[in-house]
Amino acid sequence: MTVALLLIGILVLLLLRVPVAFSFLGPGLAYLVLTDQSVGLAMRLVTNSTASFPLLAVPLFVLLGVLANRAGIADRLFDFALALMGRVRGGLGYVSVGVSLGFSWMSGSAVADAAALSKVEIPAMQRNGYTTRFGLGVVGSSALIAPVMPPSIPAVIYAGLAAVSTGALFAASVVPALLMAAGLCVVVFVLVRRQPDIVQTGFSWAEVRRTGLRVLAPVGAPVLILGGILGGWFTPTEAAAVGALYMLLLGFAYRSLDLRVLPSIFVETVLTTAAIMLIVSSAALLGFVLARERVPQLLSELVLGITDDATVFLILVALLMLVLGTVIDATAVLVLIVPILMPIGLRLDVDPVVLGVLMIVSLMIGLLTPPVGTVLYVLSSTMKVPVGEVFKASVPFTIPLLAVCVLIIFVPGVVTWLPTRLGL
Amino acid sequence: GGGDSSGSGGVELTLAHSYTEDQPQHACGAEVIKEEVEAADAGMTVEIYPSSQLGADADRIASVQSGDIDLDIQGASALAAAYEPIGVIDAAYAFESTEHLAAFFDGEASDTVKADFKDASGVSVLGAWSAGARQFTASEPIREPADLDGLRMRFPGSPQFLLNAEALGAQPTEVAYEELYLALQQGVVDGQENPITNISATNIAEVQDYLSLSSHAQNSNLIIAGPVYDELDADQQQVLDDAVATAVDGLPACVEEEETAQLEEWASSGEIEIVDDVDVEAFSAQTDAWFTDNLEGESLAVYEAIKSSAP
Amino acid sequence: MAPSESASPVGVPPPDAPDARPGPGTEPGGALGRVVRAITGIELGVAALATAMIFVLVLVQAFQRYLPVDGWTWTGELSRYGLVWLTFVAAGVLVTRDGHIALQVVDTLRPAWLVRAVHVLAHLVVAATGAGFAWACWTLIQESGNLTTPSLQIPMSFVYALPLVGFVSTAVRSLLAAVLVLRYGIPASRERDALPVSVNGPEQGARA
Ligand code: NA
Ligand code: NA
Repeated sequence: MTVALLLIGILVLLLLRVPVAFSFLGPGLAYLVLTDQSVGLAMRLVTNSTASFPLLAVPLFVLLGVLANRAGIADRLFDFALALMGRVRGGLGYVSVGVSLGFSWMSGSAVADAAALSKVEIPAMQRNGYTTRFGLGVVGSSALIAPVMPPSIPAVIYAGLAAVSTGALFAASVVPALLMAAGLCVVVFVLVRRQPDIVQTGFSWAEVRRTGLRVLAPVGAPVLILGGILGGWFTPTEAAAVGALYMLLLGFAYRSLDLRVLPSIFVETVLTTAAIMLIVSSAALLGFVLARERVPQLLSELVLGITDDATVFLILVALLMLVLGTVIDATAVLVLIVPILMPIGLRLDVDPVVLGVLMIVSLMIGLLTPPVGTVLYVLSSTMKVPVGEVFKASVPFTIPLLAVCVLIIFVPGVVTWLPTRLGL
Repeated sequence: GGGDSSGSGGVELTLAHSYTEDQPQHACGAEVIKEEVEAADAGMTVEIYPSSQLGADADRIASVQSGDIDLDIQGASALAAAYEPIGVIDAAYAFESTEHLAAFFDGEASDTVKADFKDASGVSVLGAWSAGARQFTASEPIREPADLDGLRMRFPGSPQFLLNAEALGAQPTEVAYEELYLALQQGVVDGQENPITNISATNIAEVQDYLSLSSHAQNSNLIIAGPVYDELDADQQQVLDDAVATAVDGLPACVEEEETAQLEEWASSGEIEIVDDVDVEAFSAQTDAWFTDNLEGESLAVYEAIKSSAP
Repeated sequence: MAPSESASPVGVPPPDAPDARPGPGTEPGGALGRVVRAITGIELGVAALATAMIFVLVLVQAFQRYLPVDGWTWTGELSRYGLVWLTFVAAGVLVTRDGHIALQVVDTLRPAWLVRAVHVLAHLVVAATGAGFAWACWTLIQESGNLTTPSLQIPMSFVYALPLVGFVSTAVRSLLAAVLVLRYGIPASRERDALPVSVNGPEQGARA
């Protein structure tokens, strides 16, 4: 009864535009006060969930993405992809997927990716005869590769919650992220047939070579991060810092960064990180309240009463994530749900790494759906088009993303193959 | 929260800890306390929240102090956040054995540290057990202090464990518990130390070559109680004390059973090589000299009280 | 960090005009606006320093393993508290910049006064929650005197001091935002550029 009231209250607050973090913090605090617990307990819980070593990778990967963006890496990737795809029909569509794929190795969140790339790519498409709708769809959907491909902020958060190795989760996410990119290319292939006004640009090996050389050094960042983890040089959190240091030095070398812009880079990192971490900590408080009310046990009994089959469980998880991902921020869903689903998954012999990648991919689709789809809002505001228009544009592009979820459920090998090969 | 009145007018006690439901601390510890308390029919019930559901160790100490959690199971080194000298209970080779730790907490030798801890924190120590001794795992066998040279060993970040590293002659390096498995697997660090039940629970044997049975510290678990303990009547306090004593008596056998089974499994599977000829004498002589030199004041007094209580 | 637009004094712009007030989010104009921006600068400065500290300490932890030096075993602890400080000290600034992640379904509702009312209500809820947590921080600062952090032995009361600042700031800024929205309507910027990009995107820095 108490729990039902609490959850209804939270839902009302969310609908009333109270920020996600405060929709959890307010009722959480009220619950503790009303059940005669100390008011300090609420603050200790939110502090404690934030003061976690693996979560230090969040500001560090955000910093890496901001640095990569300010250092002009996206532009370099764009030039190179364009040179490669110049003569292909609908080339800018593939370029957009390709740039997102390249940038995904340096960016941990979809929103950063969408904000950084939409302003370069969509005007370029508009100039070359593509419809705005096509541009919005391909940019928005391919931005979802960034949080799946390592480094991934959702993966860092999941690994911390589920006590699985961040390295294994990173490795496990590579193939699904590549499959997402491949699936998006298929949609581009289909849709560009219906774009009669497309203009194609030229192609020259000289241009490929020139632009290719300009992306060589940036590729060093993911090599250093993943190589550093796999080679036994750094822990994932340390690798995040080392990657950011590399990108900083690269920006200095390119003269696209200097000491004067450092404060604004750190401020930008702060604003993004604080928004994410406030949600993590508020969800941890709500998670405590749910644990206190024995909700995990109840839900576990409920799910195990429905099924004892791992595949059915994974299907239920994917459906739940698709639904929750549309109404609550993905980070909050992870912090709330992982502690509940993990024990059930273990009972059913589900590999926690498979569970994690499935949860992340299916949650990310929610970034493209109203009402909470953050990527929609980013594109809507940068491109000055209504949110509904962006949503309609992205619908065909969600098909391959859903297909990847289905593949993970029925062929978990796509997730486990690479970490197994790497001995993780 | 603290001493909520339940429907029948009795006291509902919250018991929190950080172990999984498979570990002996839950099955032979927390569960036994709950059963004993409730069987005594003294108007008390116990609700157990395992697996850090109510917060991580450090966080729950504050909750016990504020009365949000009534009973908890904590390592001495974690309790040092409230009263530093109690951490000495986790000093390397302070105790000779599990039985030594039991004897210390059973007798008067531990009265001073318990009373001082209560004065400093408001928290009562109801009893303590050892959840097994801490052992080294590493990429090399560790038989004598010199074997630690050149090995990057991960020790937990709290001060007492870092003192232990220094006393043992190890080069401690910091890795968060959450990143330990990967760090060992990829060789970021060469080794670590933990009791066998933890090594087994975190699958560390998969990524380490040698388990050296140094038994260099007892992994203490103290059963602590918040302000509610002082509000109970004398009968209820007695019931609670007896319940804890029953769990304290039974737990070492549970741990030993699990350790033996695990060691046998490793010996037969060969997943990790067991080194059982560690020169414990050399290690303990070295740490004793170091602690006698380096501890001061109340911490030294606790150390000496422990040493003099050896059975 | 302060927006470059010249701030118009409170009261000048007509209510509900599309470009009623400058600046991202709900910053007041005039002298009050200057005070708010100065405080914003301080809060963001502290949070940025905490971020830089995390960056440096994690690098130190990574590299000291390979250097012939005695390890600093407190780098992990200090950087973890750095994350606490950066998160909570920036909570108030995010209110003014409308940088908290929120569901924006109500923004599409008609009539406009209803949307405005909901915004005021949301700000009041945030203000109350901020005040509640400021109170929680204050209690902790008072009662955790004898508890210290394990490694550096920093009193836990220090740990909660910056979150206290952040939550007081959250409460005050939300109240201010509620009053401003009630009087002048929802800032125009909220419907266009400012919103999610100011949370997550490069816009923030580019504009600063
Ligand atoms: Na793209
Ligand atoms: Na990524």
